[in-house]
Amino acid sequence: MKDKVLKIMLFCSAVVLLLLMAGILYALISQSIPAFKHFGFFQFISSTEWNQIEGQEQYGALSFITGTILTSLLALIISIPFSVSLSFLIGELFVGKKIAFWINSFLNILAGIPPIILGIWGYYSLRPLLISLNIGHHGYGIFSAAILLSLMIIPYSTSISTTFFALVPMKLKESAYSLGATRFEVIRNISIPYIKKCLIAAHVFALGKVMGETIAVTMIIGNINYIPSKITDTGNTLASVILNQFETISDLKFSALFAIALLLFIITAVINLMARYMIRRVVL
Amino acid sequence: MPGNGKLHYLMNKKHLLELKNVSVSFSPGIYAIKNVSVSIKPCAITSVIGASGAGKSTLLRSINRMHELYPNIKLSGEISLDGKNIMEMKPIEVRRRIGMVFQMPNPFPAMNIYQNVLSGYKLNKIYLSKAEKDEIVEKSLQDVALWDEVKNSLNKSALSLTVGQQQRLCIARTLALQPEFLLMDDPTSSIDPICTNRIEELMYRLKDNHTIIVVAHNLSQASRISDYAMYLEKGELVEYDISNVMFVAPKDKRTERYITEQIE
Ligand SMILES: Nc1ncnc2c1ncn2[C@@H]1O[C@H](COP(=O)(O)OP(=O)(O)OP(=O)(O)O)[C@@H](O)[C@H]1O
Ligand SMILES: [Mg+2]
Repeated sequence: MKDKVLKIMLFCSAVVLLLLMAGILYALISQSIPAFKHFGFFQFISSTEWNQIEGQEQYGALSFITGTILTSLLALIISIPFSVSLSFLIGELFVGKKIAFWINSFLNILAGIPPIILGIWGYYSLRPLLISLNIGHHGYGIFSAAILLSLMIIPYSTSISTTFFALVPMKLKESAYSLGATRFEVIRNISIPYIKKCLIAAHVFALGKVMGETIAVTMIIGNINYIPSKITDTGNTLASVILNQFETISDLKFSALFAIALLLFIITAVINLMARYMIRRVVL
Repeated sequence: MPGNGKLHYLMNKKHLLELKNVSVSFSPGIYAIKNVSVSIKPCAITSVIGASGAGKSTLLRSINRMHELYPNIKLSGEISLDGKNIMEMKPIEVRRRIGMVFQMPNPFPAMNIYQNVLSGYKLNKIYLSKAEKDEIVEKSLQDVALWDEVKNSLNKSALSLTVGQQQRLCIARTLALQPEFLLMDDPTSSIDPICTNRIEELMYRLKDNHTIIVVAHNLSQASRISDYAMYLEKGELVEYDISNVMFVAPKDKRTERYITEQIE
C-alpha cells in the first residue's frame, strides 16, 4: 500500500517537473518569437546593435554572446590552476589528512557564499585594487567579472576533479614508483595524463554552472553594449543585460530580452550536456 | 654452482642483497611476513614459492620499498644492498637498482610503446638524445624479444598489444633503466604458454648480469628456471636452498608437504 503511494508521489513529481520545464521553455520560445520574426534569427544573433529609441528600435545579441563567452572562458582560465592544484592537494597529496579536510571545508564555504556578497566584495574591494593596478575602466570590465566568476567555479571544479584522482589505478602509480619516480613525477606523468579528460570535463561542467551567473557579474562588468576588444574592456553578458534592461515598456525589446534568455538557456544546456557526455565517456 | 661464469662482473658490482629479520604487518599484530632472514645469491635466479597468502608478494614489494606508499604497512628488520640499509638510501636509487615487474602487465595508457620503454627516464627526468633513446628502445625491446613484433608500430598505444606483449613491454621498461636486480611477481600468470616460454628464456639470459627474484607461477616453472628456491609458509621462510636440492629432497616437513601437494 505504502509502496503504491510512494510510487504515485514519485511519478507525480516527475510529471510536474517535466511540465514545469516545458512551461519555461514554452514561455521563452513564444515570447522570443516576435523579436526573431522582426529581426530574423541570424540577424539577431549576429548584430551588435542596441538602439532603444522609439521608431528606430534595433536589437542584437552578439555583444552579449561574446561577453558571456569571454567572461566565462577567462574565468575558466583563471580558475584552472587553482582547482587543479587544490584537487590534487585534497585528492592525492593530503588524501585522508586533516589539512585536506580544512581545504575542503573552506571550499564548501566559498561555494555557499551568495553571489550578491561576492558582487559587493568585487565592487568595494576588488575594484579599488584593480584601479590601483590600472586594470579595466575604473575597475569595471570583463576581467573583473571573470575574477568573481572564477571564485564561483573553483569550489565546483575542485570538488569534481578531486573525485577523479581516486580513479587513477594504484597499479599504474606503483609501476611508476617502481621505476624510481618521485611523488610529483608520478602525479605529473601518470595521474594527470590519466584523468586529463575528466579534469577538462569537470571544468566544462563548472563553466555551465556559472555562465548564467548574473548579480555579481552585473555589478562589476560595466554593462556597456558593444563587443569588447580586450579582456580589460567593459562589456555585458546575456545574463547581465537581462537584469539591466528588464524594466521596459517596449514590446519588441521585451521580446528581444526573452530571445536573449532563450539563447542563454540553450548555451548552458548544451555545455551541461557536453560535460555530462565527456564525463560519461571517460568514466564508463 | 650457478652464476660462477660471471665472476668478473661480480667483482665490479657486488650485488649483495640481504634481509635480516624482516617482518611486515598490514595491521598491528598480524604479520604478512615474519622474521625473514636471507642472503640472495647474486647473478642467479631465486624463485619464491608458497601457497596463496604466504607473503610472496609482500616480500618482493618490501625489497622495492613499495610498502612505503601505504602508511598502514609497518616494516621492521633490515634490508641491505651491498651492505647499506635500503631504508637509508634514496628511494629512487633503490628502485633504479632494483627493478620490479608486476603480476599483471600495466603499461602506461597515456604513452605509446616507444614512450613506455623510456618511461623510467621520463619519470626520473633524465634527458636523452634522440639517438640514445632509439638505442635504448631497440636494445630493451630486443632483450625481451618484442622488437621484431613492434618495430613498425612504436607509436601505437601500448594497450593495442596483446597481454603477453604488454608484459614483455613492461619488462623492457624495467630493463631500460639497467637495474642490477629484478623482482618479478608471477610475471607469467596472465600469459599463454608460448609467451611464458619467451619470458623464461629471457630470464635465463638476464641472469648473466642480473640477480633475479621471481615468484614462480607453479612448481614446474620454479624447477625449470631457478637456481635457488625459497619456500614461504604463513609469512615464514621455511626453507631456502639450491632449488634442485630442495625440490628433490626438502629438509623441512612443511616444504615436503607443499611439494607433494603440488605434484599431485
Ligand atoms: N593491502 C593489504 N591489506 C591487508 N592485508 C594484506 C594486503 N595485501 C596482502 N595482505 C595480506 O598479507 C598476506 C600475504 O599476502 P601476499 O599478497 O604477500 O601473499 P602472496 O603469497 O603473494 O599470495 P598470492 O599467491 O595469492 O599472490 C595475506 O594474508 C594477505 O591477506
Ligand atoms: Mg602475490
